[in-house]
Amino acid sequence: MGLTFSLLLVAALILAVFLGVEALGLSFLFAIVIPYLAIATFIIGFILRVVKWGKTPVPFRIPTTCGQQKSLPWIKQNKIDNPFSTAGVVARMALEVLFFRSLFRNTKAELVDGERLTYQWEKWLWLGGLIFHWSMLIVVTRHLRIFLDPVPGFVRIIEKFDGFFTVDLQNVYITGILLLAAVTFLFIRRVVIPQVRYISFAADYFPLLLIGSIAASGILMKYFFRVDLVAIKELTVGLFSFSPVVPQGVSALFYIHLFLVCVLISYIPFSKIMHMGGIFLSPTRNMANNSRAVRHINPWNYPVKVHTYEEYENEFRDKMRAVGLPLEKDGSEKEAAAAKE
Amino acid sequence: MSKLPKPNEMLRINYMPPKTGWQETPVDFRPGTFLYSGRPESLETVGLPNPRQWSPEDEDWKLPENWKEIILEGLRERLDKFRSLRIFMDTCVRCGACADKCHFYLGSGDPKNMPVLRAELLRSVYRKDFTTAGKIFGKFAGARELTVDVLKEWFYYFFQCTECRRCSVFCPYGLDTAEITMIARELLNLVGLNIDWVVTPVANCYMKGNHLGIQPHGLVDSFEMLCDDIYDITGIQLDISFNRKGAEVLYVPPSGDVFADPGTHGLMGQLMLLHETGLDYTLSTYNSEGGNFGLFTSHEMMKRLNAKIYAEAKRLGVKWILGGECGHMWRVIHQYMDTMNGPADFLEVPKSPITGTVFEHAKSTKMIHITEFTADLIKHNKIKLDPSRNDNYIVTFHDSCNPSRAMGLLEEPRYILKNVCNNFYEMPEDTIREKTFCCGSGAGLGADENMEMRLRGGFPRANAVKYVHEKHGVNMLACICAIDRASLPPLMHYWVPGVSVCGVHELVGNALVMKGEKKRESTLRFEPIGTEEDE
Amino acid sequence: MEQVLKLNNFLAENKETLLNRWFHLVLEAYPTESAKHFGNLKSQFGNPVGFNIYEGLGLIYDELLQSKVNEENMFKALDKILRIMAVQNVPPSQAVRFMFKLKNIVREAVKKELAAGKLVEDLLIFEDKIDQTVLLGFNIYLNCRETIYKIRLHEVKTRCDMLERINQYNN
Repeated sequence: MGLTFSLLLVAALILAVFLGVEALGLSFLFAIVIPYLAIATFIIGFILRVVKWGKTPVPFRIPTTCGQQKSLPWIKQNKIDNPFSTAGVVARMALEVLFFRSLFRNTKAELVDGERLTYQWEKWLWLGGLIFHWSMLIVVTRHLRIFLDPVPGFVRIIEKFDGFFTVDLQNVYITGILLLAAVTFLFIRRVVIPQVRYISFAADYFPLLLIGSIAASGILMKYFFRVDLVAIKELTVGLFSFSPVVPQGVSALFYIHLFLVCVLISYIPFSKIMHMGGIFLSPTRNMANNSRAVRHINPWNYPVKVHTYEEYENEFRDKMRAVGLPLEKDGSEKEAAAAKE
Repeated sequence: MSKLPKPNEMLRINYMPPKTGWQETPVDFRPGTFLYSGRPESLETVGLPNPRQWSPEDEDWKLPENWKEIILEGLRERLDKFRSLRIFMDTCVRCGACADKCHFYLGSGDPKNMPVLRAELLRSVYRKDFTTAGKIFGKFAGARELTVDVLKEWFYYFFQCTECRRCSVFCPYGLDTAEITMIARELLNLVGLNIDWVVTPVANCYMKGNHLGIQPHGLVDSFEMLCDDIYDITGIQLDISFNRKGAEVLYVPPSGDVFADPGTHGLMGQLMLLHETGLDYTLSTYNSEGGNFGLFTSHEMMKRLNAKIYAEAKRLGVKWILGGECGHMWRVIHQYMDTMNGPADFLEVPKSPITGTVFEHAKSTKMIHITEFTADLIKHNKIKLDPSRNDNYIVTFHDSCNPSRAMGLLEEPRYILKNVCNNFYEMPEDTIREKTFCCGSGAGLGADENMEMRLRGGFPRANAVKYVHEKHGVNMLACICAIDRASLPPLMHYWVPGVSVCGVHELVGNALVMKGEKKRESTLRFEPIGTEEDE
Repeated sequence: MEQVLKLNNFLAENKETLLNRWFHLVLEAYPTESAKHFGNLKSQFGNPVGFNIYEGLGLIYDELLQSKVNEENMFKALDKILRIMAVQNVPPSQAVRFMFKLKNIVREAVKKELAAGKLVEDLLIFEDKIDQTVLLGFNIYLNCRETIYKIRLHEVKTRCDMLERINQYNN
């Protein structure tokens, strides 16, 4: 159900922009109004969400430890998987964010039959996820060329490496292809593996289909239905310099691409795609395991009702005295003294 | 061993047709797989709401009229108090990496035991009432109305999570189902939904200082019985003290070890060791429990029970605190105690008077684990050990969930084991250390009425024990957790007959050569030393 | 005797195919998504249920090919599987059903021969063995359930003893 809904939704979005531009001539809407709205939604929504997270206190220090703690000096501590210092946490987070270390844990080789080595399928999840995210980052960075004039040096360098391969004398950006491949893999995996399908709903299929469509339309524009780059740059630079213009001769394919991007970025703050921000704030990963050495402060710590020693002794005084336990207050001191004599 | 199928030989399979989606499948309370409800008297003792007689099997759970309001308001409050909860509600991408990491899922095949779905039980309600997307798109955004059926599902599945944190190790965002379960249980407690195996120990601990509700004189008597046993075995009379002011150290073991085998043997080992080192320590009857079932109830209850440790240390004027072998107790002490009930500025940084070692890593909380203490003694050659006394045992070590994944206490017990016995074998790598499998009975699930579920959840652990049992002849499963010592023996009895369970310090007690002891003829279990087989 | 060998030869030659088919039929008893996980045999420790069932089936299969079934070996093999099912809410009739599935598989596999009137006697002998195994299975299942209740009883008794001791102190 979630799958069908998502498919229909993405199809409807594509159809809407196509009809809007081709039939109704709403270029102004799709070229200027919607992009501005989307960017505003993205920025404001993203900030609000992160502020909401950031403002919520972290009452306890609860890292998940994945290695030996720091204790006795002669026991080797695992400084990354069980960090004691900020440096360790930074290293742990970096490995997590850049290389998906925890996902990689799934790929442990296992011995079967005592001799044959095999791997679990999770290796593919790690690899697929890694390729997907890195390709996405590079593709987005490459797009800076369209927004910025002059094109920054690092963008040119990335382009050079990314477009290392040529086909028919034309540079082929490998990351674009990889992005489409990876997103297709993640989608198929979600549909095919029963466990994963069982836990998935529309909000899981929709972003994958959206990103897939964006990547596909991008590739079509670049290699098959060439679009007027000069006109597009006129549009994007106009948008970013707050003097928007609607250039002539921009194809519907581009509008589809642009519109889907707008949908995606305005969808981000309301969806699970916020995990890109959430990972940095996850208390089980971004805290040092030094809770016995450095006191963590809970801002809302409040006094609670406890059963005091005094109340305890009051209840059990006689029994305690009978077995010779020391008492704070000997309620029947005289009798006790008398009993002794 | 039989050959495994190659992927290309896999035949086409006709699985059962898909059932209803998980959101529409209600819970079936079958005997053997759920826990009995909390006794009303116990709820009253600690002032928990809605005390009453009820049973999970009943149609009517006798909820307060405004139960939904209470739960949603409770959730709102906690969303504002715990960043963990907010992040864990918002960031899951349902990648499925955690799915096959939960011992209950592995043993039962029940899809709602996949950590991601366990969290979705709460997350779906969160979406419905606290997110824009959920409010607008409803079911398509994975949102779900909070109904009595959903609440029943919460009760069933959040008391089917042992808060072991194994899934958290594999999650790319570190999402921790233990945290979600803890908060979900807090919510359930708001309307009086809890289990007797948690809430009665809580009430006992609150009033009498320990889970079993042993009164002070009973406690003294029980320890004396252990000392009598030690005398029979070693010929040495131990002199132990309770509630003694001016002692250097307050020693806090879990109370389960005082009363039930094989915990008692491990406690005897610890008492012998402390005697042998001459440490100036005292026990407390007021605070006679290291464990804290408050952790399985609510953060507040955890704090209320935990407060006794520092209060007693302060009253007695000790310098630092030594904790016994207990799993969840150490989660509380390591990650919560100082924050909740500190600062412990009336104590000193723990320093072993025997070796001079200063335990800098505990300089704020001022409490150290007995295996840290013992490992330090062994390293400095301060105790004499004869590991051959444990030659009857072929030992493996079960990492308890909390010390491994909420602390990182991995090498200390191993170092001790390698020094006190000659035959030690590790279980397969993916089943130990931070990847250790839970016993299946933690977080208050260890009641006998839940036996089938416990045996399912414990199967992955037992399966790994079976492997070393068959490969190396392992017959002793050592651990550092009181719940393990109570729950692993039945687990072994069912899945791997021939394997016994012990605390690490039971083996220390066997191997410890004490000054002036008589020739040892029996182990701490009163079994002969040096015979072929122990059954 | 010669004929018995014929069916056995066939079963021995096609062991992997038939065993796999059998294994997946057995897993049909579980929900789809769990069956898929249990069916992933790459991980002995990550998938204890699937692995033990597969191993048990293999041992049973081998044992059935012996001219005389060794009851002790068969017991061990069946135990591997039924011990799991006994804690998984599978009723006894359902739990032993997997043995009958082997009948179906074998009949299906030798369909042509049977139609030609061959191997009938072999098959009857083979199916007799399966029936015997099923009976043994009931014993094992009951044995497991008894063990569970013994364990429970033991826990209750231990707790009663403990409470009794505590009550003595408290009075």
